Amino acid sequence: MSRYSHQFDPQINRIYAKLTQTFSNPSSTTDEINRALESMELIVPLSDRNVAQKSYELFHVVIQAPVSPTYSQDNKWRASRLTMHGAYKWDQFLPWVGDPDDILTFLDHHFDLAAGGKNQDKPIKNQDEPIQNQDEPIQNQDEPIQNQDELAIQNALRALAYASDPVTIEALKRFNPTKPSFISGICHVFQGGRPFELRKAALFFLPLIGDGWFNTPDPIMAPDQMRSLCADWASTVDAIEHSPDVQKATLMALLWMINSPRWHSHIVADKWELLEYFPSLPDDSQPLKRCLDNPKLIDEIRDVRNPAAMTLWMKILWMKYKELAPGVQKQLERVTKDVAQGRRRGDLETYQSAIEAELMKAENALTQYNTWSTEPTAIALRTKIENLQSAKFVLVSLKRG
Amino acid sequence: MNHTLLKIMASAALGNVPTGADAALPEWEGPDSTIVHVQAILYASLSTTLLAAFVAMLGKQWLNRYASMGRGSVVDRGRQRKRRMDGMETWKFGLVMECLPLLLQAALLLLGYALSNYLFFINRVVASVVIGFLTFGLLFYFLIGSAATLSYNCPFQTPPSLILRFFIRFDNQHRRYLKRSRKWFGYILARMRKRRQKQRTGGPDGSRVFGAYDINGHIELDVTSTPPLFKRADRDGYQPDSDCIAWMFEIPMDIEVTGVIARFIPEVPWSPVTWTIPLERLHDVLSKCFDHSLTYARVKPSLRDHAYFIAKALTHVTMQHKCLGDKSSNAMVKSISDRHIIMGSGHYEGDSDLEVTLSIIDCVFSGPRPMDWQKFSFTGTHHAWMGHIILYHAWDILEKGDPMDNYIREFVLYSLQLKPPPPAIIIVDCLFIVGLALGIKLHINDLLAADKR
Repeated sequence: MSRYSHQFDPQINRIYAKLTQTFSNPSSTTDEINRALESMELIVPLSDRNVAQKSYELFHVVIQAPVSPTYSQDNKWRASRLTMHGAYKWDQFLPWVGDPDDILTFLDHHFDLAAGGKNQDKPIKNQDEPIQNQDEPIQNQDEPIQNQDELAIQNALRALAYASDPVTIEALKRFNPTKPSFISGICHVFQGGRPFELRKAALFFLPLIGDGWFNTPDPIMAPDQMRSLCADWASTVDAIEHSPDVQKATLMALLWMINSPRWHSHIVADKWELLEYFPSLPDDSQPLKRCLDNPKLIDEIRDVRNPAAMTLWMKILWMKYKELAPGVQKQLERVTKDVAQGRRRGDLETYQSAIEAELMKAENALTQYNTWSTEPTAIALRTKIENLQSAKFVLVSLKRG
Repeated sequence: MNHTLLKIMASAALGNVPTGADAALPEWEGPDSTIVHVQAILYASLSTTLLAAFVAMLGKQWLNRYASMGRGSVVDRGRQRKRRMDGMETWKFGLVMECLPLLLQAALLLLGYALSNYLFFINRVVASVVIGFLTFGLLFYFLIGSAATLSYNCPFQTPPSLILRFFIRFDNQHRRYLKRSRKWFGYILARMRKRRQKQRTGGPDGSRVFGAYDINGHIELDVTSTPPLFKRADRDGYQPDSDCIAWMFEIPMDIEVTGVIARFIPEVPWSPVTWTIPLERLHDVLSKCFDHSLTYARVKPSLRDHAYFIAKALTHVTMQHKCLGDKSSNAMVKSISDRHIIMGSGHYEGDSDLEVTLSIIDCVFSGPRPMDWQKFSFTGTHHAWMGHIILYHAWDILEKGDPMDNYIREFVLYSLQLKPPPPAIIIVDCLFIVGLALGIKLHINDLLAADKR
């Protein structure tokens, strides 16, 4: 549609200018507000870049506009839901979130509503949802019916999860997600009956608040709730196609859980195998660093029922051997010796082949650069190769006893 | 005679006074003055006859050009022919051609007069015979001319009688023609006056930079509440289409022929001429397409195509009446509304275009009705046409201060959510509806009267 957009951009601009004027003007009449809301209901389903961008800008205007006798609180949330839908309903264009505060306020409010089971107004016509006659009840029973609040939450989560710029990601790290309504809201969206897009957005959002969620001094929820959330998270992971982005998001969430003594025991056994997505993670991944620096982790993972967990984790540790803290290195060597002397001696070959494979990949990548290249990527590759060669050397020495 | 005169002049120059026979003036030795007079009239008669022959040859040339056809489709050639026909009517080609016999009649009159005059001096008895016949002929001509002037049904019409009738009693068509001419004349005068005034006063230097904008601190946009359809489509080549359709509706026709003609109505640009299409007759013809023996409204299967085109034409013209019409238009629409029977139903086995057009007619004449847009699957052309029509319906409703019909709202939502997206023209129409709902006046430059051909 975007290729035609220049033909109707002037009219879209005119409509949004009028909407902005209406909502930012404290003396707008009730009729003007109602007309604006009616028009927004009509225009926000249009999948167009300009509509998305303008809706995002209007969202901030709407949410920051002071409440007045004509612009009630209900109207404010209704308008914000519509703008959020206009901005983030379409996969092909999502406006960058420059400032997450308004969206977090919006999300928090709708988590409150979802927790209270309040559904304020009629649903926005979703793109994938057939338009029903208003005189007839909605009869499609096969798909979960997405109410207004869920759609609002979905759009807000999509905004934060898919379109956060670096400033927003930093702001989210400072955000405290342990408010009870926020916690119950996140648990709520992961539940099996929720729409797929909502669960998917939540899956991508969770790693962004992982530090504040999993790394708390006090428990933020009861063990039963934790187990339930882990199970819901696992079923969401199963329901989704594992693209590179999904691999990264799921592994980050898993690493946050692994690093938390309260959470790792609730991880669904077969989800430990997500560790095999390790190469998809960037080197500076925060949860990975935390896990690698955690000296207790090896022993804890040994106790996991799924034997693949230990094998995969050991592989990761060997590949990062040179970056580990001395204490963790010692522990790794000790456990490797145990493995060499035990029944799973063959695992050592697996570690070695993983290192060799990664080494070969790095060497191939380095061939793209000049021998004396001073580019940061080339330097990083040389360092990586050195580290892997050192790790291989240590591993081979341990194998020989 | 000349020699005598020279002699007198030479004598006078020498100082000799001419006397006797020398002093007498010479007598006229040429033909008689009556003969000269008669000869002059006869030459006038001959010239008039030659002029008539000349104009006749020109006329033949003009008719040859009229009969020659250029290349192109049947529609294009038909349009070309209609344009030429209109030109002939506008420039009174028929009248000019009918003036040819007038020239011959004048030549005959001159010949008769000259002959009578000549014979009168030769032999009055012979002259009286010619004068008698001439008088009889004139009297006869005067009488039939008078009869033709007084009665239009008189078969003895001649150009003078038509001209006399024109001056004695203007009919509406002539009045309109004169009014239009006066209007154009006034327009040209006003333009000239304006240009002269502009040349006199000049403008601020900034006007060249700012173009049409007011440079006194604000910009004046050409915003108007008038819908784009009001932009009358009287450009060359478009007007004949609507003229043709209006003209064809003057002839009584059966359903099939009406259907074929109705097919073209939505194709022509919006023009006031289409108002002359009889709305009630279209509605009646559409009603005749239905099988009234059933308990529900259903078009006879054999007439589906015709019903579709007639229904589109009816919607098209009705919307024009509703949007642009005066009190008489409103009364006409109301009278149809009073006797309109619901036509839309779900009995067309996937013929969404017909079904939805009938449903729109129901909405237009019987007020808003629920419509499940999702169940329809229209052709692109029909969708585009519908977008235009619904935009005008929305404009009509919102301009009156009424709330927007639900079916319009649902149409906008349906169109804007379609996958793949509909053509841009449909989206533009939907966005204009959204703008109207918000209170944004339509901008005349945004949506021109679309050439739907």
